[in-house]
Amino acid sequence: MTFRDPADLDSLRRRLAALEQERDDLEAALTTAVEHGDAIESGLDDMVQRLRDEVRDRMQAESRLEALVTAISQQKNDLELVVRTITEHSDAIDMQWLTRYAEAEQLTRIDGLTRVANRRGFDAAIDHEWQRALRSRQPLSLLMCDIDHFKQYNDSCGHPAGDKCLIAVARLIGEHCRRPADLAARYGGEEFALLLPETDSDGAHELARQLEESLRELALPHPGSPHGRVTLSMGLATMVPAAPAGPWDLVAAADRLLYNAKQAGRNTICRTHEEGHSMPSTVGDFLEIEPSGDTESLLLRFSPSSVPLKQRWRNNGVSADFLGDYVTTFLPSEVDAEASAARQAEVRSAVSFIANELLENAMKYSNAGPGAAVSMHLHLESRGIVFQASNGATAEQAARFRAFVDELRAGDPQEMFIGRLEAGGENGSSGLGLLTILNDYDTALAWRFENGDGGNVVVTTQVRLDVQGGR
Amino acid sequence: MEVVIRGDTYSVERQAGTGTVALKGCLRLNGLQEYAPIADALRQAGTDGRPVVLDLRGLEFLNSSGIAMLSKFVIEARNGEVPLTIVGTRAVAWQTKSLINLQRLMPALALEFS
Repeated sequence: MTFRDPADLDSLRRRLAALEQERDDLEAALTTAVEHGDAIESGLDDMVQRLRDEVRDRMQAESRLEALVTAISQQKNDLELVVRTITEHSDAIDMQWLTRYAEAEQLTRIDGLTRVANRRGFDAAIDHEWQRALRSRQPLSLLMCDIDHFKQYNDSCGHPAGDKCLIAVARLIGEHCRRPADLAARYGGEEFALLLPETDSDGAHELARQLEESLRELALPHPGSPHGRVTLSMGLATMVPAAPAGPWDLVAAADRLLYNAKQAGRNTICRTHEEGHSMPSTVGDFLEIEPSGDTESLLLRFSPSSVPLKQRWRNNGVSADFLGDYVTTFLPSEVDAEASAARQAEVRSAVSFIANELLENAMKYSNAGPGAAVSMHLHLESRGIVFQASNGATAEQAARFRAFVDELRAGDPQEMFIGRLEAGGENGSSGLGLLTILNDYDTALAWRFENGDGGNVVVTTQVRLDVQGGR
Repeated sequence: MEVVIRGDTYSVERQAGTGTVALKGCLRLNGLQEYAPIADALRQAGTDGRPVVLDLRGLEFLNSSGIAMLSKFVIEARNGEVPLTIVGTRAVAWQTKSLINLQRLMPALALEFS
C-alpha cells in the first residue's frame, strides 16, 4: 500500500486517532456497562432473594392466617349454633310451659266428675258468646236443664249411682253440642246448661226436644220418678243481645223458665216465645197487642210488698222492676203509631211477660193460703179494662186454684193460661170486647187475651197489678 | 347409677366404671357458673378418651343456661374428639328440637330417642 499524497496520510492518521478514541470510549463504555450490569445484577439478586424471603414469609403468614380464620369461623359457627340452640330451646320451653298452662287453665274450666265445662267455664263462655252475639246481632240461646227428683235418686240409688247418672246425663247433653261453639256445662249440682250461639228459639227448642228424646231412649231407671226413668226439666231462653241487657239476663230468663218447667210438673221444656223475653211460648201464641199513640206505658204495681217477685226484665232500653211497691213505667213514650214489627213484638212480649209473672205470683199467693187477692188492671188507651181476679180465701179454694192450674198445664199448652172470660171492661170501654174479666173469684186466677173484634188487635197502654193481703 | 350431684329439683347420676351420665328432674340453675359442677361431672365422664353417654330421658326441664352448658360440653367433646352419645325422649317437648341442634354442633354426635 502506498500513500501518494501526504495529506492522505494525515487524514489517515487523524482517522486512526479518532478510531482509537472511539475504541477507547467504547472500551470505557463497555467497562462501565459491564460494571453497571454487574452492579444491577447484584442488586437484582439481592432483590430476588428479598422477594423470595418475603414470599416465604407471606406464605407462612397466610397459612397462619388461614388457620386463624378457620378457627374463628369454627367458633363463629359454634356460637351461631349455640345461640340458635339456646333460642330454639327457650322457645320450646316456653311452648312447653304454655301448653301446660293451657292444659291447667282448661282443667280449671272442666267439671271433674262429668267432664263437661264447669261453672267457671260456663261463665267465661257465656260472656264471650254474649259479646260475640252483640256484635253480630245473632240470637244466643241458653238451655238450662235440671234432673228431676235427683235427691230421691240419690236417696234411693246411692250417691255413686247418682254420680253415674250425672255423668250419663252430662255425656248426653254434650253429645248435643253439634257445633264447635256449642257448650255443655254443669251449672251446679244436678243442673246443666247448654249454650247455643247463633241459634234461634226454634232451633234451640228442636235441640231440646231431641235431647228429651235421647234421654227417653237412654231410659236411665229412676225408682223415685213417676216416669220410672230419669227425666229433665228444661228452661230455654233466647235473646238477641242488646244493651243494657247482659249475659246474666239470659241466665236469669232460662233459670226462671226452668223453674216454670219444674212448676209445670217437670219433664218438660219451657221457653221464651219471643227472643229476649221470658215467658212460656203458649201465651204469646194468642196474644196480639200493637202499640199505638205516644202515651204508651206499661205500669206494674205491687201492693203490698210482702211477696216481691224480685225480677228484673230488660230489653232494648225497656225495663221493669218487679219489686214490691216499686212502680215502673216501661215501654217509653217515644213509641209512635208506626212502630215497627219488632217494637210491636216488644210490647206484646212485655205484656206476655207480665202475664206470666202475674200467674207465678198468683200461684205463690194461692199456695200461701187464704187472704190473698190479686187484681190485674189493663188499660187500653183512654178506656181501661180491668182484670179482677182472686184466688180463694180458703184452703179449699187454694187447692182448687192449684188443681185448675195443673189441669191447664196438663192440657193443650195453648190453653195454659186460659181462664173463664166473662165481664166487660172498666169505664164502659169494652167496646172492642178485646179483654174480658175473670170474675169467678172463687175459682182461679187466670186470663186470656182475646181478639174479639174479628181481627182487630189489642192496644195496651197500661198494665197494673195490685195485690192486697195475702199470707 | 350413683348420684354424684343432687339438687332440690334435679340429680346427676353416673354409672360407675363407664362414661354414662344421667341428668334427671328439672334443671333451673342460674347462669353457667352454677352449672359448672355439672359441666365438670360431664367432662370427667369422658376422661381417658372414654365414650360418653349422656342420658337426658329423665330431664323434664332445662333452662337456657343449662342448654348453653350442654352446648359448650358438646363443643369440647367435638374438639377433643370424645365419642358422645345423647339419649333423649320425644315425650319431653324441648328435647326433640334442642338435641338435634346439639348434633349440628357435633356431626359425629350419636343421638338416640326413646
